[in-house]
Amino acid sequence: MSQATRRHSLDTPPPTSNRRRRHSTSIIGSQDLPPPPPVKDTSPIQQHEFRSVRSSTNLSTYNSNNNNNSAQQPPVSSSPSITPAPATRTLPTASAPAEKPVPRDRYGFKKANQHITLSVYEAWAGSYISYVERRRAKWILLMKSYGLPTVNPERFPPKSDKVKRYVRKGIPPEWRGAAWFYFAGGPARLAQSRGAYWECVERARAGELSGVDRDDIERDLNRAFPDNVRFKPDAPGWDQREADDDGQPGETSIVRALRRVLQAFAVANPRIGYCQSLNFLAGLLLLFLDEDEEKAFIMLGIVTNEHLPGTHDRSLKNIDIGVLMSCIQESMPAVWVKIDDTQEYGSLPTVSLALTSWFMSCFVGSLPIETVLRVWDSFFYEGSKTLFRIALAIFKLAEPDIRRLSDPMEVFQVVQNAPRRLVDANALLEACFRRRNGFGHLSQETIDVRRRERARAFGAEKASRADLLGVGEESGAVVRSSSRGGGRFKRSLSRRRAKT
Amino acid sequence: MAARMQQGGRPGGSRFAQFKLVLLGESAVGKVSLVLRFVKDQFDDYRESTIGAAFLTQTIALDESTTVKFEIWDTAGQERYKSLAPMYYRNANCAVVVYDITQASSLDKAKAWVKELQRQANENIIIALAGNKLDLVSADPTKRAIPAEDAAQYAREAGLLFFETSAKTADNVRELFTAIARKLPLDQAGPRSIRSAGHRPGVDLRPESSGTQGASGCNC
Ligand SMILES: Nc1nc2c(ncn2[C@@H]2O[C@H](COP(=O)(O)OP(=O)(O)O)[C@@H](O)[C@H]2O)c(=O)[nH]1
Ligand SMILES: [Mg+2]
Repeated sequence: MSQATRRHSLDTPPPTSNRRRRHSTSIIGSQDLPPPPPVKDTSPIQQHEFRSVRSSTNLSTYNSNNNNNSAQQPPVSSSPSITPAPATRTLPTASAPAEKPVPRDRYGFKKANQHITLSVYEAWAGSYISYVERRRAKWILLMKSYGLPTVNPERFPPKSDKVKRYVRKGIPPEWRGAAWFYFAGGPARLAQSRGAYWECVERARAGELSGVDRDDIERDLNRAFPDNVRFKPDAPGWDQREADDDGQPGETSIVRALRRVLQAFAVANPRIGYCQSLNFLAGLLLLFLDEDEEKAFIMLGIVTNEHLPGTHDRSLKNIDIGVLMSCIQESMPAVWVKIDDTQEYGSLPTVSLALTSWFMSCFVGSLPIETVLRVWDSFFYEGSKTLFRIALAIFKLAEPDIRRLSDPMEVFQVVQNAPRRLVDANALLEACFRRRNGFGHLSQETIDVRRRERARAFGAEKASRADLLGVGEESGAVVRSSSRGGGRFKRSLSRRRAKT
Repeated sequence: MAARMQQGGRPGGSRFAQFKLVLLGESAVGKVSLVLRFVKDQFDDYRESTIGAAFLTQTIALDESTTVKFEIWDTAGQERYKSLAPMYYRNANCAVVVYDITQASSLDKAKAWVKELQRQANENIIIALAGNKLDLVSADPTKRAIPAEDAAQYAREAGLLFFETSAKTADNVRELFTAIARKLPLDQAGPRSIRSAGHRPGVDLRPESSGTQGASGCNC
């Protein structure tokens, strides 16, 4: 926390009291105690833990309002619990009129959206809350059995079948970011590269960031999580500021943090630069890492270099989608028949276009947020095979619908829209990992072998396509010299390249 | 998928045709916003960036006897997605190439797309050029970066339909899609479309699907 926070507060002065409070009391000691009885609204992602993701006063205010949906939210500036620093309160945000407060979950996301109605959400949330409490109680016992703290834990039990099971059933929301960081190998990376993040921030500022990447990032900052209150408050809030050399008017602190992380990442990863979807990954990481930019930066590197090598590169190859297609072909032939138009069109079926975001965004935007978080729990613990297994489970759940359809475009719509309604995270994970007809057997080894095959095929295909279409050569090498991990995959690729 | 059409397939001898439309253009020019204005009559100041592509449908009545269903592909605008572009526009009957009239560079990007479409896509593809965010310029004329006349002239030379639109106020949005529909070869469109011709047997290409909105089609 130290360096990031210090640097951050240099960059982002005022809401000092809030900011400090966040770090000192953000977890409000709820882990060792049974949670307070739910207020009216028993949504699992509401309540006290809302603060654990961010305990700023305006959110608590927001939240208490939310517990009574009929109450109008008072203007933030008049709320007694808010003590905005002078510089932060003047904000003429174009889009922040006095709207009715929207029901939000504990992380600040709108509960309802175009795919999930409020009543569908609440019907699911009613029982999920007690599930989360039960899991938390188990986690507390687990942590204690390892002598680990249960307030603001930074370390977690060593990997084992039991811990893996616990992770699959969901990490307690207030520990989530720390657990992701820990299980993904963040601490070791941080120890090796301390300070590298802030160097990259400086390099980006000093002109190393390309104009294209800079523009693309700017365009995507407000398009990351417009339905999250910390990215887009309902009313001007304490952490929005006027324009200065560090950002645009009306931006919240997390949006500014997102800009720095994306710019630093683009500078540090020239083969990727800025790729749309990184806004989602970095934004969600920041949200759960308490805006610790350095950690978010490291995690972004782990996702893009280790777990999804090549997926975000400047020249997209869709290798992961190709691998997924081969898995579908094998395990769900009846689905494959419906989506396979490759004879007509070539290597990838049209439905691939609906799947790009599954891998690039790691399901952000494709699955409801709580489901995404549960997927990420397992993803950071087990690696990229989780994304493939979940993708297969989505197809499995949609299989009855897909089989009924005959128009390929209707099938496309099912594949595109079905996951967005999978609000029942447990049902998806259960379909994914169940013994019979589940996908827990799909190994990382299998995936990596197929990735290599696809990468090879891609090389050949690209060579011929480049002639046909005059597509610019963008050096298709998958090898990232700067990256670590996944070494076998990369080594064998570079060997192959050396040969050709 | 190419046009599929049923003549007299519905009571009263009405015509029904289905066309594939693809949206192209630089990131953030307003592609998704134009589609959502057209399909759902909604507009958000903020919405998530598009990753990959999104698919929606909308049906409009051209006149009392003619119904046109658009299968709309909205695409991610970022340069690196370009290698996927042929997948978007293969067999497209029409394309809307969007730029932002307050961003000079976005017209260059639009011209590049037009060129690529004219080179690579269906021979008879109908292309419309849409200069979006007209409302910004109406509010503050100094924001205009591309004179309407310049774009119109380019569109004439390149043989494109041309509209200045606002997804925000809905200005010219319906007009844009209607103009495209009117220009589409309703009379030549038949059931033996390019797609169905080469399609493997056993797949029934029903011209009319149960749901017309993007959000329909599945209850899981
Ligand atoms: N003022 C104004 N803003 C627009 C208009 N169309 C889109 N926008 C905004 O421009 C941004 C990008 O729009 P979007 O539809 O996501 O662009 P896309 O990347 O081309 O799909 C969003 O913030 C929209 O709200 C418009 O007609 N007028
Ligand atoms: Mg878009």
